[in-house]
Amino acid sequence: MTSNSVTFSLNGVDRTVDVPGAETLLDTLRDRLNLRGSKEGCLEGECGACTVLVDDRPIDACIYPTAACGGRRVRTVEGLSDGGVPSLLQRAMVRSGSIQCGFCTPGFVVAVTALLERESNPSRADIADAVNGNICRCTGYAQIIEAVQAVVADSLAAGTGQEVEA
Amino acid sequence: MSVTIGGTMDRTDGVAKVTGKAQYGVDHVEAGMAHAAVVRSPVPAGRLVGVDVGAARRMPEVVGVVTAADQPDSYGGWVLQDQRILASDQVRYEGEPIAIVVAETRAAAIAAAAAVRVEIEEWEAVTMAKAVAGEGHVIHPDWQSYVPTFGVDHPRWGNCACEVRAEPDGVDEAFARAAHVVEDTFTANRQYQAYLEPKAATASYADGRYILHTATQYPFNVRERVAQLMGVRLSDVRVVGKTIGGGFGAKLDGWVEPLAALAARVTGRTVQVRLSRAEDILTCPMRENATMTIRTALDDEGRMIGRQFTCEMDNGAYSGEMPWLASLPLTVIGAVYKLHGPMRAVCRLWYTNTPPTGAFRGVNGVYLYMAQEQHMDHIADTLGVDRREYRLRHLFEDGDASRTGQVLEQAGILRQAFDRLEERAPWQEILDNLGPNQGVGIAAAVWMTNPLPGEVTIKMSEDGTASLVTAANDNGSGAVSMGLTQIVASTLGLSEGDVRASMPDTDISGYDGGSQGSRTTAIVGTAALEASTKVREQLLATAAGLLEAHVDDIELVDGQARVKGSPSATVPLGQVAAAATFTGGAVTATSSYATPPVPFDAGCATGALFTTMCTPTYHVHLAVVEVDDVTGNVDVVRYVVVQDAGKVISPVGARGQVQGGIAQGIGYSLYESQRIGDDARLVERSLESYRLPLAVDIPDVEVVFLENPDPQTGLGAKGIGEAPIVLSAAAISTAVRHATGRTFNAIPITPEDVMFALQEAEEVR
Amino acid sequence: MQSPVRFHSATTFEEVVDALDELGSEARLIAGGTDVMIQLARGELSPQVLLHIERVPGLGTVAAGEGGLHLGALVTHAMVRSDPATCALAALADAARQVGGWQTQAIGTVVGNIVNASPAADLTPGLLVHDAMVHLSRRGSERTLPLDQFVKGRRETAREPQELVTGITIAPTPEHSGEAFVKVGRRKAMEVSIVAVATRLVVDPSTGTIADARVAVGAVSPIPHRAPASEQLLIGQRPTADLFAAAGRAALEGADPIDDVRASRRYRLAVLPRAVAQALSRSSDHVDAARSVA
Ligand SMILES: Cc1cc2nc3c(=O)[nH]c(=O)nc-3n(C[C@H](O)[C@H](O)[C@H](O)COP(=O)(O)OP(=O)(O)OC[C@H]3O[C@@H](n4cnc5c(N)ncnc54)[C@H](O)[C@@H]3O)c2cc1C
Repeated sequence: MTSNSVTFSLNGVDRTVDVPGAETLLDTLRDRLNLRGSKEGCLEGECGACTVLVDDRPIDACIYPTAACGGRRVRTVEGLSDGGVPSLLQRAMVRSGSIQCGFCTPGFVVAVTALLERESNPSRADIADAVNGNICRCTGYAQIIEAVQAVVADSLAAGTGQEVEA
Repeated sequence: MSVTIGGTMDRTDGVAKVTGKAQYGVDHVEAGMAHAAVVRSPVPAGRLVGVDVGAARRMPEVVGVVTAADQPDSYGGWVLQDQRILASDQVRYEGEPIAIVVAETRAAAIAAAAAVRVEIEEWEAVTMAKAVAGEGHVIHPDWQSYVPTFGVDHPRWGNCACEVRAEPDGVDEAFARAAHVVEDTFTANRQYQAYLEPKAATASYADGRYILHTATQYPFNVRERVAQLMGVRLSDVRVVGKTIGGGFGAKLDGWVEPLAALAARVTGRTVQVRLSRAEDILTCPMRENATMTIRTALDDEGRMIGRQFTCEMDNGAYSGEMPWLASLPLTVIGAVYKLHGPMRAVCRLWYTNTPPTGAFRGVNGVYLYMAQEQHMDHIADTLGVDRREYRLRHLFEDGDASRTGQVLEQAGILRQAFDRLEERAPWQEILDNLGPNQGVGIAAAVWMTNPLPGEVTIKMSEDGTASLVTAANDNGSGAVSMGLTQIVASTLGLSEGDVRASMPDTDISGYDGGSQGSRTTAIVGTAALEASTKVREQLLATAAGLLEAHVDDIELVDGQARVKGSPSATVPLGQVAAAATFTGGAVTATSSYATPPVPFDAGCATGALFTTMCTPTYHVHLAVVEVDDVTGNVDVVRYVVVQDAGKVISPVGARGQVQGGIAQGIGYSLYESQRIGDDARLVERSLESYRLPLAVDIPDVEVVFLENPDPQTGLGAKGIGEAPIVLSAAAISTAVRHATGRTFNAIPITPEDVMFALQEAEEVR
Repeated sequence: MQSPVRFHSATTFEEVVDALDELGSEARLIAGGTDVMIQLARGELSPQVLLHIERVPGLGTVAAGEGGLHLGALVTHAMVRSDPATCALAALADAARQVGGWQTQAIGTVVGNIVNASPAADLTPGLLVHDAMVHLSRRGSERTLPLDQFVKGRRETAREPQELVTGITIAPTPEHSGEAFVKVGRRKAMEVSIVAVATRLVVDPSTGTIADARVAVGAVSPIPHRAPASEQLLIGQRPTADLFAAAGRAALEGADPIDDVRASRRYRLAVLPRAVAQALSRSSDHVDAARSVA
């Protein structure tokens, strides 16, 4: 009776898992579903390396229960590229030096995707604020923020305004 | 499009990392893999009376429990062999491994580890203050029997793990005739490397060999540590690298790998050890805490004519690489600015009941330069001279020597750096425009490029792409995924996608000195340039035959060999490589390189293991800070770096090294307190209380690179990655001193320190 | 670690109150879970059932009504910082903006923040300044309590185990008022408040004197509380820097902070008066700004 059968949409595909009541979404993704792009950095919501989208909201999967995801839409870093072809944001991050060791990168990709889905023209301060919950120990952040600014500038120039290709 | 040195390229591991596909140490999976949880000492010091594993063995899914009784009777250590894998009769720090529980799942292993009963007769713990005062028990009663790994022992006794002494003549005389004497005392906290990927390793044992998959910075060092501790030959251990989720020095030595190897040997299973963040913090070989006293004699012209320097450093419970670092003060203090007289120095490393300390980017340079530069400000203020002006008057020039007798041939770059800084950020203009509660600091340094050897093999595939095989690894800096790739691609006329770098494997590649001390691009890059040049020659020779032209007239561009000046006479590189392969055998070449030893004065000190800065680089930093008079918080509002890079191979990567290094330096200077209580326990134990700087806390660093190529190599590159952090505490602490008119002798400078200083100043008023 | 706790994700209000009625303190309500999940992992909680309410309809809105502005139990910090009605209330919006990072704000709820009853709960001071009322429901009955009677101590509230908090109402904001929230932490974000201050001033435009003053402080005692000594000192006076400094010092009355890993008691006591003075000065600026717009 302590396990829950939960069905949710994971990167567009319905998945059903049987999980103990308090199992975190991160453990379910990594250990049951073998999606290891989301990273375990701290287990207490401090670093953001495990950020995923649940119904388009960025959450720390390391402190969110899988059992709360029933019927909801979960997107992970693996679902933000098109079959491995990087999104505009991901491409900009590769180009601009946003990535060093890369362990925090999936969390940043997800958090920034959430920002760009919400705001078409975020300022530098908006971008820095949106990644407050994400720690990067390598880059000192500047080149991450510049990648986001580049994507915003490109998409505004292209007149698409709204969204980042996902 | 071919890649060029100094041009931009997309790092070759970028897409894997940005799409979540890169395989880190924690992501490694093998068939039949079991999971380990480590039972750790709950107290910093005591006698291990008993370990009861009975209940744990009976827990569900448990494969086995490993205790000290199962480990070989051998010791290991990078410099001094003072450690074993599991504590046996004594525990020496909180978190020290006592037993390993192996189970089918990580959760089961953790649950069973909690059921292991450990009985310890707790002792009063030895902190550094106690060790220095000669109080407390001797942490290693058998210290005399410990074997130095490289054959040469150094002065040490009881709780003193290493003593370095320089006692030149004339110091007392210099102080006796001094017009002024300036003295300062400083302390520095530990700093946690806080890479985002907690340590992990997976080990198996079969056919008499250990195979480890681990995200290590230094595979050959891990191989050595596992071999020492398991009592086997080096070649009985194979280490295969994984993508590294950051290391910054803490993943140079074997810490989790020996645990995994022992557990694999005892249980017969493939075993993965993965630390939680809490365990990682508790056991990480952090940058050591230290105290320093610096005292300088000045003559009536304000010249420094003599100095005394003492430095006490916390070794923690085991030595790691620390005995080397104990002599680094000799290469820092008294360099950069001319000291026209002798320097007496005593540097000691103390065993304490705290986690072993170790390397963190910039090692002790960060606090040594902080001390030297704050002291320079103090001297300038004492003399009533502008701080920048005083530095310029006494700056090293070409050929000046550090205290170990190393002649710094290119030290004149320092003045070049000050000049470039002045163009970028004119000193007087900054002083005139400072806002309320703002201050500016300036600092200069010489730093090094680690000289250890590296090897590269280039193999051409018959399709015209190149494999870059090396045990050098990319710690994230891009040294392999950009730097080496760029060197090889530009030599062979390839695009970045056509050069494939291997992951490190000690069975496959020649010795590599690890990702440390900014060495990879400079050292392994030199080997890569040589190896790819040899391959290029083979390709040119074959292409000359195919194109019926003279070798000298052929160039390799855009994946093709072509006759210079006649663009239609081309042949794809694949065709050249295939022709060469099937006529003369595989097209491949291997080169290795190590920096030649640097001459120094062997009589400069006793106990000095680390005496020179190989391939020195020169640096000047400027920081502007603003102090919040409500909270005492300090904000870095501007930061400028002028750095000698030799030659910039990858501009995007080079800038990232500086920006990231300064961010860590800002953390060290202002945010990252890692205190040790009087009970020898760490005070900050999670990422909530150990504050890593966030995007909102870090300014965009302004970077100016100076290119003075290394005359020793064809490549000309010098180390870039480590140095940026070295001056940050120096620049920031002098800026805070300027903003507040108060000296802050402890790093990090906390809001509390600043607030209490502000309060004191108000009371005086 | 595997926890034997059962998870029940409710989809109706009735389901929640019925389950609470049956299970009482064996059930632990979970909204965004940003407090609950960490406390579970640390072994600080051991409920039989996690009763999940994020999918219960009707609890997630900010609505203006008779008694003031109503925030449903599922209103998150992200909503407070973006909803126009709450955005106008700086003591709340600026607090919500500084709770953790985006990942916390996206799902962390205001009600969860007050029910968790941390001494450092960032929304509580602002809600105290706004005379917030807490609405509780159980099967068959409802009640409403002022917030200062709801929070009883560190991690302690007046809530009965069978009760669900359905929302909070904050009183209408008087005219000619200005408010502010000041959070003291070492970094610019992701900090558990070392000191938190919310203030609101109402200035009589005809006399230029302070007609009403509210000062609430957090993280300096087991319960965030109003600072009556500061408030009394302010009322009837003209807003000046000296007055605000004096009001700041008066806030020390009733402050009894702890020493912990984040900050020392001495530091908290040093910063509190300054933070209160800063919040008051910002509040006063906001009154002026509102007047110049009007
Ligand atoms: C990384 C991180 C950073 C944080 N930073 C801050 C910060 O800066 N400032 C701050 O104040 N807090 C902070 N928090 C704490 C937390 O996010 C807030 O307290 C949050 O508002 C709690 O809301 P929740 O919905 O997640 O609560 P939950 O965890 O779901 O619940 C919290 C408590 O409230 C009870 N509860 C929830 N809803 C109801 C209801 N409707 N009726 C009755 N009881 C209920 C639960 O049973 C539980 O006891 C942080 C947390 C994390 C993980």
